[in-house]
Parts: sequence; structure tokens; C-alpha cells
Amino acid sequence: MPPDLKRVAASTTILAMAKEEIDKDVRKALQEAFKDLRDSVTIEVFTEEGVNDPYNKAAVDLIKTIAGLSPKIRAHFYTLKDDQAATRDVKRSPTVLVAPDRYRIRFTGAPLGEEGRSLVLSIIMASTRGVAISPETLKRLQDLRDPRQVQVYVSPT
Amino acid sequence: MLYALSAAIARPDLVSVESIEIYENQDLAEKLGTISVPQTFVNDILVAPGVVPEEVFIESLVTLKQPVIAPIAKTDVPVEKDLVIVGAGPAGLTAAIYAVRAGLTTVILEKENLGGQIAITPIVENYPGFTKIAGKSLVDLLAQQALQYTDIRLAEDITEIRKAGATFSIETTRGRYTAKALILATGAGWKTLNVPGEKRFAGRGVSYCAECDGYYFKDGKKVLVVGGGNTAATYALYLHNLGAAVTMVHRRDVLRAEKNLQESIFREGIPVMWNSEVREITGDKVVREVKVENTREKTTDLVATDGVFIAVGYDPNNAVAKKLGLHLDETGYIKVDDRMRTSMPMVYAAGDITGGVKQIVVAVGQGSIASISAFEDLSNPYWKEKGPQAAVSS
Repeated sequence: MPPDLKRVAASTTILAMAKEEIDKDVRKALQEAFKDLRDSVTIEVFTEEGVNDPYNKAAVDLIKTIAGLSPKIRAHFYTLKDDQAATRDVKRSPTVLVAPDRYRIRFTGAPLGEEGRSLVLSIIMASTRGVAISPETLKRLQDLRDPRQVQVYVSPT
Repeated sequence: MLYALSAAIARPDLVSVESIEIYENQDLAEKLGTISVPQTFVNDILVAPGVVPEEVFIESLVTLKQPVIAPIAKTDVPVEKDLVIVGAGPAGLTAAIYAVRAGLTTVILEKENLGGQIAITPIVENYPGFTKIAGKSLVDLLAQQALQYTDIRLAEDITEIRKAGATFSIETTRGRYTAKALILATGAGWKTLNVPGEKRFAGRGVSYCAECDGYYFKDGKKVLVVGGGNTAATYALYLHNLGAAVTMVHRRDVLRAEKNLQESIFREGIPVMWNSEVREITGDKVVREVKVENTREKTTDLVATDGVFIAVGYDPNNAVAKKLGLHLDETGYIKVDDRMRTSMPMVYAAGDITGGVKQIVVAVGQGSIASISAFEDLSNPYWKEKGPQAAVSS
């Protein structure tokens, strides 16, 4: 793995503190984390009015903030009625996709708290193509022959 | 999630990753009977209930099975350290900071995840310097500070530990280590009720962690909190503040929790079933009812509920201590002196594993004492007869 992913994981821990409203520190930690981005990363946000409204707003605000912190991060916003939702097979609100042209990384539900950390890591990983597993484990992964759909159930705390 | 993301990045041709937030997507969670989080499914097969090591996760991803955790290939040469700390809770993390600052090479081995019990404490209000802080945030801050000094090796369970001469040899599920000194900060785990249904509905309404699983019960879902101590009271208040309809079940007629917490419970009007014990937990896919006996009136009630949070105390995580043959007290906690020394020279213990009041500040204090003692004893062994040099230097 690139040597700095663990450091990033540690430095973005501050994201989990967003609840304690230390916006300035969060911004600083994120800017630091995004310093080494390489490729551009597109983020697509899908929302539908009337479903999970507060979380839609939280997701949109979060992605807007994040996109504002690095020129390498571009955000696009859609509704579930837009063609893009059908193209990406998005049916739930809010949904956030990270680098959907290259990878299939999806957050169903606003990526807040602990998931905020996963979101930031996924942006950095998509941009740098870095992974956080050892070379041996990575080798084992090359044995994979069929599609795998991983679903991680989480809560926002 | 980190390993799942890594798989999606390494194999974009075959691997997709979705993080599903269960409060905003309750229909999906209910369909699976998944109320405890995190839980990881690959092609709809549950592969990781909770947090697992990377090789276990990737093996499940490839094989679609929950692999038996076999010791994996280890390096032949053990990692040599002055001090090995077992456990990455507040005691272990603090011990590491002190040890490295004293000049000892150190590593922390943690069986599960960072933070120990505070990682799952919703809100901490009695750690000096912070009026109010989420347990997880406090862990993050502690871990960040400790990481500046030492490596924290997660998912390393100790399979073998022995002393030969002045050296401890340690084998874990992922590596080998030698050390001149050990600090055991292995903590304590949840005590179970041992009633019918408790195991069956674990993760399906039965929980030991309000911070992890509470959110699902927001919006007026009914929950019982079993217990009367600080943890039970904290859980009850946390769940109440989330908007769940909370009732406490306590076997005595007075709460054991500290006065401040008791006052909050009563001020918030959280009902308490006094002199009551849970006898059975029943349901279908998830918890539906709990049989509660009032031991004073000798009556039994069936209480309809969506969740049961159990906070009835702790059991010491003393497996490593037992392997070493340390002296334990009658309830299984490690006996220590006021320098955190155990019955075996160069082995120290700190935090909840030493019993006592089980507070973060105490764990932190004991962690520092253990490291200072280890440092002093390494240069000046207290168990050996003092020679002239030792006498001069002290």
C-alpha cells in the first residue's frame, strides 16, 4: 500500500468528530488528506425530494464542501428522475457514487460520521489507485474470477 | 470498509462495493434481519459480522465462505521489541506513549479494534479536558497521538506466549514477537444474561452496544435497557435522546449509576422496572417480546419490544494472563501492586483488566504507571538482590 494511507486514515479520524462542530479543523484535515491526489475524481450525488430530506441535504452539503477543497474533485448532482440515475442504476435517495466511470463504489445513505471517513478514503484511493491491503492479500485477490457484490451495512453514528 | 474499498480499487472489473446506511434504508435492513452493524455481505452471503482482518475478508470475498481463521504465514524472524503492549484501549495507548518517550521500542497488539470499551461508549462526560465527547472521537484522538510513537497492530490475537530466560516469545495470528517486558491492557468484555433467546437474537434486536446499534431504534421504537449501572444509564439516556421509547429493567430497587446519571434518567422520565429480571427473549426474525419477572411480586410480564440493550457488567479478558499463569483475583482480574506489577517479573497490567472502578482516567493513569515501572525495572530489576550499583542509582 502507499505508505501514507494509514496516516490518512488516522488524520481523517477528525471527520468523525464533525458532530462536535470543529469545522475549521475538519477542513484543514481534509485539505491535508487531499494534498496528494493524483487523478481527477468525479463524485455523483443522487437525491429525491421527499425521501430522507435531511440526509439528502447533508449529503449534498458534504459533497459540495469536499469538492471545494481540491480542484481534482468534481461533483455532479442529479435527481432520481434524471437519465443519469437510470444509467448508474441508482434508485435510492441519497446515493453517492465515487469515480463511477472507473470504479463501482457506492454510498447508499448520506456518508456521515464513520462513513465520512470511508468516503474520504475512497476518494483518495480512487485518485491514487492505492489500496490498504498487503501485497500477499492483493495477490490472493488476483485469483478472483467472478463478479462480487460487497454490501456493508452501517449506521451513521 | 477499508478492505472492501481496496478490493474494488484493485479489481474494478469484478468487485463492487456499497455502503448501506440502515436508518435511511430500514426496508433493506429489515429484509435481512440486520440490526447490528457493521455487517458485510458478499453476493448476499454474510461473510463478516463485525470487523475482521484483511486476509480473512479477502479470502471470504474470493471463496464466498467464512474462512476458519488459520494462522497465516509468518515471518521466520520475530520482531524484537523492548516492550509489547497487549490491547489498544486507553490503557494500552497511553502505556505506548509513555514507553516510547522513555526510550523503549514498543508495539501494541490488539485482538479486535481500536479503543476497547470507550470506542462503543456513546458520550463521555467525565474525562477531564472534555466537557462532552463521543467515545469514538476520544479513541481517535488517543490513537492519533499513540500512532506518532508506535505501531498499532490490529486483528492480532495472541496464540502463544511464553517466557524463556529474560525474553518473552509471542506468537499471534499474524506474526511473531519477542519482548523484554509485557503490559497487559486486555480490558473486559460484556457480561451476558444467559437467558433463552439472547444468543439467537444477538444482532437481531439484542445488543450490548447502544452507540453501535442504537440508531435503528430512533423514531419511537421500543427498547429495553437491562442493568442499573453507569453503562446502563448512559445507554438509556443515549437511546432516549435518539428518540427511542426506553424502559430500564433493573434487578434491584435502586440504580447503581452515579447520581448525575440517575438524576438525568428521572428528569427525562425514563421508566424503570424495579426488582425485575429478564427471563427470556422471543421473536421471529427479530426481537418482539421479552419475558420479565418481578422477583419481589413474583409476577411475570410479557413486554413487547423492538430491541434489548444489555449492560449488566463485565467479564475480564484474561486469556493471555492465564496463559502466563499470572495470579488473578477470585473474579478473574489480574492482581497488581501499586506499580502495576503482576505476579510475574517484567509483566505489568493496566486498565479494566485489573478490576476496580473501570474508568477511562484510571486506565490512562495505570497505563502510564505500567510503562514507567517497566522502564525502571528494565534498567534496575527489582526482583534481583540489589548490588552496590543499583543501590547507588536509586
